[in-house]
Amino acid sequence: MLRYILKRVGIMFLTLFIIITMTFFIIRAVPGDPLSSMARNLPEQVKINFYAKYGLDQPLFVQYLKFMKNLFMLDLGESLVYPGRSVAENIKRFSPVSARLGIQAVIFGFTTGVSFGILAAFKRNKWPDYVVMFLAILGVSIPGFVTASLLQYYFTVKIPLLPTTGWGTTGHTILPTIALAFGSVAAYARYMRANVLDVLHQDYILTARAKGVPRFSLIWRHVIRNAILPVITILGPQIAGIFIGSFVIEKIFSIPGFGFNYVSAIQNRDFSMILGQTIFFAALYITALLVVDILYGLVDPRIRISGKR
Amino acid sequence: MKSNETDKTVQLTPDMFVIEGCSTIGAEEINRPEITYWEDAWRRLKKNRVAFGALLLLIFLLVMTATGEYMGGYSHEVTDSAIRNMWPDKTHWFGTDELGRDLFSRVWRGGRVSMLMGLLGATISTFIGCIYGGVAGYYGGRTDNIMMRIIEILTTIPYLMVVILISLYFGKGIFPLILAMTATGWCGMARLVRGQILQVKEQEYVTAAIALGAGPWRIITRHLLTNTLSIIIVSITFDIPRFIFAEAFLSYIGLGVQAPDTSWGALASASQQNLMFYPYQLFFPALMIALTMLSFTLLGDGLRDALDPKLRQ
Amino acid sequence: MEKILEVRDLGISFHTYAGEVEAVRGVSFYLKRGELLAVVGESGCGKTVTSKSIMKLLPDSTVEIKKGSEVRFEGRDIIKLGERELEKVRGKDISMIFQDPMTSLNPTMKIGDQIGESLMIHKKLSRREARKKTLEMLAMVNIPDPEERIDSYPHEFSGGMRQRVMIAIALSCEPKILIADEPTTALDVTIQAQIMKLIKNLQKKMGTSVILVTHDLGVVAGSADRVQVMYAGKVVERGTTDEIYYNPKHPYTWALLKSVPGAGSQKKSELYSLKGTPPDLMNPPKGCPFAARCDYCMPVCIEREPEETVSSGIHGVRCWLQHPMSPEVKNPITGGVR
Repeated sequence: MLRYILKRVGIMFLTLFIIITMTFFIIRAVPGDPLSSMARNLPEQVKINFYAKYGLDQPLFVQYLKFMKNLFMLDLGESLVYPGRSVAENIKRFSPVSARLGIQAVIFGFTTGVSFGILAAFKRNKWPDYVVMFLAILGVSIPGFVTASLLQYYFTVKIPLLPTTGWGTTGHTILPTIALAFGSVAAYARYMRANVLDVLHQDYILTARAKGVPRFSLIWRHVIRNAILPVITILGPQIAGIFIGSFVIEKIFSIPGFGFNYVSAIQNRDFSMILGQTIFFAALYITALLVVDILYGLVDPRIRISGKR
Repeated sequence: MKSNETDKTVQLTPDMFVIEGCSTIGAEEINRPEITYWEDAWRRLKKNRVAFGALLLLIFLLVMTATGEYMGGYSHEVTDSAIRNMWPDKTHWFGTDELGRDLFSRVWRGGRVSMLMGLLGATISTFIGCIYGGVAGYYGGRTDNIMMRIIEILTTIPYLMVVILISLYFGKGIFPLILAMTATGWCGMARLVRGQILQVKEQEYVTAAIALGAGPWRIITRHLLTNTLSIIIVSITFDIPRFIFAEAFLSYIGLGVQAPDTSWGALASASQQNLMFYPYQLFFPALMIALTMLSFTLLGDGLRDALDPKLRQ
Repeated sequence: MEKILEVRDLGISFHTYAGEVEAVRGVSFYLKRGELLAVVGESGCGKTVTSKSIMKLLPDSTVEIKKGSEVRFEGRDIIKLGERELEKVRGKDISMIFQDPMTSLNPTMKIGDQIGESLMIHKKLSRREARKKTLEMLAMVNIPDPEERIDSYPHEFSGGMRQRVMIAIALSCEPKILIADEPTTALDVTIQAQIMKLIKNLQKKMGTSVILVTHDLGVVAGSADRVQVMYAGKVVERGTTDEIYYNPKHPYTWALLKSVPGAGSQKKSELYSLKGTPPDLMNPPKGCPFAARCDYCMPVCIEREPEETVSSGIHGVRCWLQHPMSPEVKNPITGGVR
């Protein structure tokens, strides 16, 4: 088990390293001097000082090393567009919002989706199955931004039930969470249903029935425990989807979150901000994947004992 | 009462008790007619009404994206400020947009782009994935190990990051769009193909074929490929909507097709601001995306069931 | 010794896409206390379906239990019971073990828990008591180091070990009947012998009655008290082990015995193999099901199904050769006549 964890952590660091390096060089390689627009009207000497301040007068590789050094000390630099505002500060200010939204969406998505999947499997070919499958197909077919827009239209304008945009109360979080989680609910439901049906055909379920295990225990201890394992493997990519989807959702609902901030940094060409936030985002995502992988290792006794898949 | 239940009224006569030996006529008759794997799969698919319906819907959509633009009689790019933001009516079946352009023709023209992007993305990543996975699976061992590590790292990189980086570097447009979609999109297919090949390699019938003297080329084409093919087909069917979705998303956030070209995602994006007043502008492109994704998904489900050799009848 | 189980006129059909498959067509038999009844036949003859239907363990959706079928356990017809009531019988009064030990255990549950589960459900033992009893069971089935292995998972065991665990689970609540559906088919030959010996020992120790389903006549010879031979959903011959092995009367039984190398055939002759395949049960033949493959087939065999003729107490045969109007036939196994 330990071997398994160490291996995953190792890959995580390696990937992170590659991403950071790649991002750094790509951003630097983008045509257009980041500061040119700002520095255009400054006299020559001031311009030189200006560039020196941001270290942009040094050769690229030196800049890279300096950057990595700063990174180790968790210094992500300053915004190029809004001087004085540090990247880290920005992250600190906006990410709690996104975090809350993201966590809500993941929990909601997983529990709802898995429950629906179980329901559909047990009521196979009866109406609950059809309803769940229909919703699931919808969830997989309708893009997130469409769901969000529709929800916004129907539940805030047509029927003014919830606030349209903004952030602050719990009410503000409901629609965005649903919009964000809709796709995952669908994915979990479909996958869980397939797994439960698969498990129901396994020999060990017959053994359990032959033992006289009562229906409820059978479902809980024998069916669900085995069916849910593979579903955890898609937890990782689903979390990824939530990360990505949040950018758009935040825009639609005008939520002052990390994603929203990130997109505006891109639009402003604020390179150091982009760099810093991209790294943060990547690190977060990779950590989430790692946690899911470890979780899977803990839950599946076959991996827990032997350390390999 | 079944027709072959014993008729107790038949009298037993001595001539019925003469030993004649076994009648092998009956025994051979029960063999059902031979049909090939593909014929059987097609038959099963046709029986599956949902999947078949999805197939028909898909064909309909494809035809519409090819020809729908010309049906309404309006151009997709001519603007007319006099008829801006009009609700759907008899002349403009899907209404008009902010610049007075007919949405019916725009939706179908955009659909062409979306479909093409989806198909193109799926084709490219399938191609790359197959080759990569095929090589990894065929050679196995160290090569396979290294190749799989690379994939592991690639899949850990957040998709959005790739997209943003590519768009930053290459700017906007169709090329960066395709690049962004396929940069990591092939990994799934590669894993799948490699897994299949590894599995099939171990199969006893391959060993048997080798023992019977079949050459490597024959083994690859006849055995490895045929089995992997069904998996690949199903995978492509699920990949295409993924790419259409990706294209819609990317166009939505502004990376992708630029004006005056349009795609479903771009149309959805453009309608965002006017959503409260003119929801129909979002409705139609969104509906088309949903229908396309829906039919591909249902078709994929049906294909998967039809091609599964274990369910063969 | 009284009859602990009586099956009368059991009929089971499966409703498939292509039609109705009559897997079991009017099977009747009984089991006496403390005895081991072997049910033999080739794949598809209906022996597994029969054994599973005793406790109604067949998939609900496609199965039809024909009217008139009776399964009387200690006098009570359990085939009429609902799931809830059956749950009280399964694992407690009647237990079953299955063919493939590799897939018959829950991979995410410790084997100790899987044994303990039965104890806690049926005997209402507490966790500690169940654990104690589980250790006893593990020792009884000869699993080394029970203290350690009780907390292991199935994938840490070999096939033979897993089958022992299955036996432990099945016998933990001291059931009156054990149904063993091809328990040794998936195991190596040497392990087969061990498992059969274990079953026999435990049977003697606990006084359990056993129904052993198998296609392997070799396994049967050493352990069964009575044997019944099934073909195409019907019982074609039944009797004590001695009667079946030393005086078989049905041509199918002859074929089975002839195909076991060394049993009743010449040592230097070719391996005997039966021609043809079993009949399609979607369209069962109206006459004797074995007619198409029988060397002794007569016109009457195709026309009508033979009734069962019982000789010497319990030796029953369903064959027209037993009819007084049929010619005398040399018994290939015994060398005698008919």
